[in-house]
Amino acid sequence: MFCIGAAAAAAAATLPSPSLSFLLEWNGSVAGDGSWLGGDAHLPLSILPLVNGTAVSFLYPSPSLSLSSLCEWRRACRDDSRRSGNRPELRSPLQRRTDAVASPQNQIPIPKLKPAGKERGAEEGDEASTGNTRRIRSGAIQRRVISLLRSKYFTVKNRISVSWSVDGVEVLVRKFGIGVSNMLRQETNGEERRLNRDEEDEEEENDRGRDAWERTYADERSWESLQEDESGLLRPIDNKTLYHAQYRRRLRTATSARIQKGLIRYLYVVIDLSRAATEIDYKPNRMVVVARQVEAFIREFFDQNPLSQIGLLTLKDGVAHCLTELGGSPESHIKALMGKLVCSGDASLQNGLDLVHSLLNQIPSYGHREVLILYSALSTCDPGDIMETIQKCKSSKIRCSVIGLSAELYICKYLCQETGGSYSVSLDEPHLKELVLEHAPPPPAIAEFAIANLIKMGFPQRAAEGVISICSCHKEAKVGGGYTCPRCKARVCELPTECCICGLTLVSSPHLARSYHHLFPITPFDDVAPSVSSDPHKVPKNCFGCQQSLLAPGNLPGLSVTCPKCKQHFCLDCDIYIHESLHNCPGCESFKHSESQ
Amino acid sequence: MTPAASKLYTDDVSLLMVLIDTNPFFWNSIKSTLSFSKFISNVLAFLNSILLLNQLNQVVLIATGYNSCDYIFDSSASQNQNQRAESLLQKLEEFVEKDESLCREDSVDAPGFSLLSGSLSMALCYIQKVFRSGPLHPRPRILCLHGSPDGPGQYVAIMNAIFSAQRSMVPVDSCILGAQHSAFLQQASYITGGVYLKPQLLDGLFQYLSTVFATDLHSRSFLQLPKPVGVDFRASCFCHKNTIDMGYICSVCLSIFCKHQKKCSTCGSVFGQSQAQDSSTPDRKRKTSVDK
Repeated sequence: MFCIGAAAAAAAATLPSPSLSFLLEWNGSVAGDGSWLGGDAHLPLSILPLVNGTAVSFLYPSPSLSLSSLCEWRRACRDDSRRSGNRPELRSPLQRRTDAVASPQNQIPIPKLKPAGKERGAEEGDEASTGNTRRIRSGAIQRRVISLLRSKYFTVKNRISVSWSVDGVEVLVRKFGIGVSNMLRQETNGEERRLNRDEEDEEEENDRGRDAWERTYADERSWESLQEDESGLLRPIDNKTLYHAQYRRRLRTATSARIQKGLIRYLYVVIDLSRAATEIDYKPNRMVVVARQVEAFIREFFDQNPLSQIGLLTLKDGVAHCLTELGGSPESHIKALMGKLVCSGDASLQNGLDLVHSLLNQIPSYGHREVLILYSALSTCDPGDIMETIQKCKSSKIRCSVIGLSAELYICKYLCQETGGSYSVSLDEPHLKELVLEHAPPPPAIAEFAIANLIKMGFPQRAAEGVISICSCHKEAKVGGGYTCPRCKARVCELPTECCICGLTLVSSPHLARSYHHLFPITPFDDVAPSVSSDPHKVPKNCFGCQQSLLAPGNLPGLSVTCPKCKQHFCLDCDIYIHESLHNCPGCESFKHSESQ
Repeated sequence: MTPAASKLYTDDVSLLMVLIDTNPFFWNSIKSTLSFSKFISNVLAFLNSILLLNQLNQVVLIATGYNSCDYIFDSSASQNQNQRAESLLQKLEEFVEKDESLCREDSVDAPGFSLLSGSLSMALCYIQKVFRSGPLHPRPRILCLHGSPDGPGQYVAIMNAIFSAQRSMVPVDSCILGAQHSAFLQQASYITGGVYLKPQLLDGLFQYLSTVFATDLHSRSFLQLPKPVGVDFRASCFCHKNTIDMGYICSVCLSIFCKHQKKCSTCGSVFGQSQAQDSSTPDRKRKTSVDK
């Protein structure tokens, strides 16, 4: 087995003790001002461990306080309280490390990752004395630390990504944007894992101890959707103007003249159903959330790419399974996916890519080959060198995109960079949905990726209801419906398809027309300058599209936009609707002279 | 875009967007069977009966002209109940005059398409406004009273409007007044789940309107409405705007051409080994054509 994480982990095999995190984890309750997240470094954070219901308070930082000593202390605490309820004193066997750790007065009180050479001596010393304790705790503790940090302390705004692997190769804690860039990697082996297991059960019990109402609030972050207005009242964030600005930005990046799009796509969606997909950081768990998003994606994909095809793969137990072959029917894919939702084992990126590669080699040269991987795991468990596989995908012009559910992985990033795909990591479910649906509109075509061709196609007519005829695809007599191939007059049941008799590709013109708005994008509307809109003669009273008044309350001129071609004014809502869904400018369509262009 | 199914509709309250064709060239051509004034009196009676069916019903009339489109009547905006017809007729007259003044001399010889794409787009914008108005709103539908032949130049725009209507679950009903079937409206009604009807006798237009198109969407499921007599799914080619049943599709942008081309006029791709994909060998299967 070739493991990606292992190579990198060797460099930082020693574990600098991020004591604070560990404390957070096992106390379950922290009283403090949160300043350690990057604010005032010299404010000590008081921590209240709850041991059997008794609050024990002490101050952090104390450079002598290391994980192992706390572990011991906690154990002693427990044993002791079982017997008498007394609290033991906190011992610090690591006093000699004081000089190695920066003074707490002017530093963020989380020990930073030291250069390996300098710190190693001290670290080894620790390990000799208390290594046992630490090894037992580390896996389980980290897991809980991180889930706690994720759910409660780290908000989206801080751009923090924290992640770990249950039993795989690495334990990875990454924090971005808070001035603490600690990255720990730790190699665990089977023995440790077994030891961890006992602790895990214990941790789970602790989690259940948290009240249900508390958990709901911690998970939903309901406070983020509120803002304070000028009088100090809380109200929901008014995201209309925000939304509009967002949409304008998206529009601006999307429109450029005569862009070539890959409209005939052959896409494999690879779903990671390894053990990592059972994590419950997404509710109810990652697997269910992913399945839900894939379902929405498949529908949206066929709505936007009617001539394209999708296939589904799953990664599980170190191997890749083909769930469905390439096909154009959304229902059959969704049905197959929903029937196979079981997670187990490890994920193997390489096996998945190899399978996709062999499957996508068969498609016609004009098609665009794509893979979309929804990756939950933090490691890949591969039978060979994945770099070779990536190069193989690159040479076969397969565009690979990955959406991660946990943390950014170098190997995924590299894969996407090499093959021209996009890599993103989702923060929560709405974000995941957004990221997944970003892959529904056709990507810009890259000239050498697919050879342009003229394909001969037929546009069959739909037969009248109630006519009985024999269809050529099922060889059955059917009443009503059905389409007649214009070349050989055979009857087929569904479009798009290939005529079984003459091989002509049969589509209906609506299938093609669904993609035309990509070809003839409608020009973005211009904002009306306030100087113009204050002149009542220049701006009409009502939106041309929906007749809504363009005047703000109090007969003041409100916000409006104008089409650069037909000079009609529209309200912001119509602006969004016209560009996102309708793809027609009602003004331009309503005047013959502008239409003749 | 929230799916319309999740919206709370009031069951039997309708918002009816009526698009009437005011193309003078068309009305001149069928003067003998149905005059425009007779048509308008039929439509007026129909609109009144819709408003009488439920006091919450709402009717909006949009004129589809030869050179322009405009809102003619909105039952939610008009104050005076008694002078509805007068204000409507007056607005319509103004519109027809304005439409005529926009007409340029050189374009008169055209067979006369009216701007269906424009009025459909306006109607959809109006419906979106109603959707935005709150959770309780009338169920919208669009009725096209159309007679002019299809304008091939509007193909893309009309298709865009149809898909948008389909996405927001707005049925497009069509009643064809002209002599020929309209392929655009056939597709519109088929895709959006509306009713397509070409009355045999235009004299009885009011009866057709009141029996087929007056019922609200909820009651429709209990009626035996006319079934489509086959839908024309042919496309019009981009090069000559002809309606074709077999053609060449650019693999990059899906443009339709009636003849083989060297270069795509829409996206500019140059077509390589066209013979390989020309499908001149009918038994060529997709899987075998891949080997590069």
